[in-house]
Amino acid sequence: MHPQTSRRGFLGLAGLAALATACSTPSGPRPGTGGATAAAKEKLTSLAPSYIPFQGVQPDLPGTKSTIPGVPDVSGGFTSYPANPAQALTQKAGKGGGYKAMTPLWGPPPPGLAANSYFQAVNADIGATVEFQIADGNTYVDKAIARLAAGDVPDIMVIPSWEIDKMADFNRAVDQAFEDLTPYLQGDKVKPYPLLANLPTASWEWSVWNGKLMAVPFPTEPYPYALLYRKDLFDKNGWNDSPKTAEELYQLGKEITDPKAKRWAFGAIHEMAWPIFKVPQEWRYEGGKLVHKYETPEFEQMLAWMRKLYEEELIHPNVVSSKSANEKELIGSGQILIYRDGLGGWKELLIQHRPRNPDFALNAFPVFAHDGSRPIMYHNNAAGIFTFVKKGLPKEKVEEILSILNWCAAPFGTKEYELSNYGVKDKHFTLGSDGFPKPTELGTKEVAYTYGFLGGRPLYVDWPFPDAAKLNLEWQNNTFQYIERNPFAGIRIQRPSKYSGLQVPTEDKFTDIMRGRRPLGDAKQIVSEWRRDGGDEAREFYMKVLRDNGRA
Amino acid sequence: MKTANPSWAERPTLIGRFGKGTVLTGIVVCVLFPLYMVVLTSLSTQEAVTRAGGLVLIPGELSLAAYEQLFAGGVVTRAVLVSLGVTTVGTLISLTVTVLAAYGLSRPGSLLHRPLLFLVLLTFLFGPGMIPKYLVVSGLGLVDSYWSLILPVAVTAFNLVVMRAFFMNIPKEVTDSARIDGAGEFTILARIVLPMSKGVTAVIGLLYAVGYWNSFFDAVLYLNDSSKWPLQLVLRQYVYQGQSLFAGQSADTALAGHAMPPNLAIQMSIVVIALLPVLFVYPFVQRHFTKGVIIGAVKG
Repeated sequence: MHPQTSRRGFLGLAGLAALATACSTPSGPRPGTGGATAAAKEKLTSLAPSYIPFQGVQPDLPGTKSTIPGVPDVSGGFTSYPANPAQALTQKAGKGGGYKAMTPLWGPPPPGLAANSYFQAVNADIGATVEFQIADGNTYVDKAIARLAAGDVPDIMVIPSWEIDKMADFNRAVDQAFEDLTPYLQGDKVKPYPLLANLPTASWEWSVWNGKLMAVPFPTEPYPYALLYRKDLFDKNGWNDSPKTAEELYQLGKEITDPKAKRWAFGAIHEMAWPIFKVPQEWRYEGGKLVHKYETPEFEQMLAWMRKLYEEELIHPNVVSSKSANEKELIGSGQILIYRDGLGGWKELLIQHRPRNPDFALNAFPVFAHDGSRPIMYHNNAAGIFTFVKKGLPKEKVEEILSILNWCAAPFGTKEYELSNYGVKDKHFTLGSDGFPKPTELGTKEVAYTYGFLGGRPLYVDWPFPDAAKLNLEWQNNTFQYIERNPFAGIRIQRPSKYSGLQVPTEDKFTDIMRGRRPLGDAKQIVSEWRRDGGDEAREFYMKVLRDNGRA
Repeated sequence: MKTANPSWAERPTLIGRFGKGTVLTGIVVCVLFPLYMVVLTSLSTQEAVTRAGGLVLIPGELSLAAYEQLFAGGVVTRAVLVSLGVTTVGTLISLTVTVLAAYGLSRPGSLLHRPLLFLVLLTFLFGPGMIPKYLVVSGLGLVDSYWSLILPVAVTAFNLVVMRAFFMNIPKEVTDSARIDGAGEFTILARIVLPMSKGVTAVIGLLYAVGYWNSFFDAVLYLNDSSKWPLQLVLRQYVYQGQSLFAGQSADTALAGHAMPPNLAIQMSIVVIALLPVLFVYPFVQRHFTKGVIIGAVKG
């Protein structure tokens, strides 16, 4: 039979080919499982720095300590901004060196070092000159690849994990371009850097390449998404704010959708429909075999349910017609009532809409399963962004850079954090009536998120909205017990590039089904195409990982 | 004054004219309507944008706040100057090189003109690829220099071929008679050929200028110092403000509690700013446009 390729599928493949070309280093992309690796838990733990919690700041909203390998903690949160932030470090971090650091930015660029009093103030406090080479966050991978391939590597280079996934030969590049940090940080060697020692072990384990500790990680929060809803409007209208099954959510959608009043129940929600239908996050191991999420019966049930939402027009027409619909505006105006977003999106919406609508409030539905059984929830990898140090720098330079990264890793509630995030008090920011920093005009112009990328910190919920911070942490702590254990927990796997490249074109085809452009019966065919095009090959790879780790 | 129709053409009927008018008006509205929404949204307050749930259709409260915010920091103003500079210098260099090369390649007797033309045409088929290009640029020491935005793209094969085709069309008799009068190649080019090629030069100049004005990817690759960024890249940063894909953690990494989330009014004012220069230049070059491109393209 001749394989059918839909238009969207084709565009996806064409885009993929372009991406593959764009990502090729001079040696060319290696096909198949090239670049994919797996490292076992025990090895990873022995490489990680010792965990020594920083006692200087205690969150007033407690979090949840993760006991699941590879899953980040819920770090807790704050309901107020400390009137007198603690000084985390007593000694100057730098020794007067000068370093260039490449970081991504999703926003307007600040003035350069020479004309930027914020950069100057932070550098003075650090005791070294960090000069940023800010690059556009959305095209970051192109620039990173070009610089790595040309051997034109800055002293400090930040690379997000999702960009690393796009680099075919990163496993080799990482050895050639970046310094091995194991001799500096492994185990108790981390002690001169107390704030790096404060980063969770699970995050450090993601910084290992080729059996070496290569980067300082930026910890993440545990959950990729939540199902957010307009709490103020739900409270006002007395709608069901705790649906227990997929059917209840659908009924709720029917009840609150009213096109005449320009009100639709849903924005984009399908990523949350997956855990609701208990589709595994990636693979399920049962009966000695690995089953991919696309192959599960739950996945098909999910498709049918989503299709129903589209068919009955419970999803906002702008979201249906355009991938890039401005959901945040639609949520703000009450045209959409429920949508999925990361927890960071919650804060963003509050910043955007609360100044003009003081009642504006969101909450997340407690997680539930489609049939009312025990729910599951997905989790993030424990590190999302990595900071690398250029290979071949003299030992003192590497130590000075690590000391600067240590300064940058100061958590919320410290003087260092305040300076690196908001600038100088009464110059770049003032404390607002709620006690939280508000940028001045100069601050808006000069302060950009730059030092913050150099080494992460425990990810506290530090929102200037105490009511929302409480709801958020309640949800996070409550949801933690439902995090799905996956068969690879604790093993650090770099996905085979061919397999990760399949994701977008395949899911585009499933989207066609959800939107009613292809019949539901096509799901089986899409799965067999996926298997043929690399899915089965990936299964072999993952099975081998399980066998190598004695789990199969 | 009424002009008589030629004998083979009847006066169009009223219905016919009305029909055409309607269709044309319809097309014009289709083109202008999105622009209208863009301009109106850029001039609306956040309240009006929120109420509309996106692009504004019906004028509400108007304000220039978006434009004020854009130009307040000095970053955009600087980027405008950079872009104007790069566009002006770049277009001059590109035109000079293209004219000289096209003229040389259009003279049948010139040295190695066939192999050279072949090399130029080859770049039609095979682009250099991002990394080799980066290696050349960094090897020449152009990284972080404005020249990196100009030199790698100074000549476009397409423009060169169009211009060469145009030059070849100039009758040999004209250049021969100039030569009899004692003119050398440069004089012929400057005094005879170029004045006869105003149209194509204007068009190709416009193509180059629009290219320089719109380009942002070279700047992404070659400029490490963000204070040297051209306008398009800076504006892009405003459009994508806060849209990191960090599993939805954008608020923490990109906003860090101070920058505002992307604001539709600002995004739309950016579209307006990016459009304006091209919109201004186009009418002046337009009359050459159809002529220049068609002549170059049809006759080889």
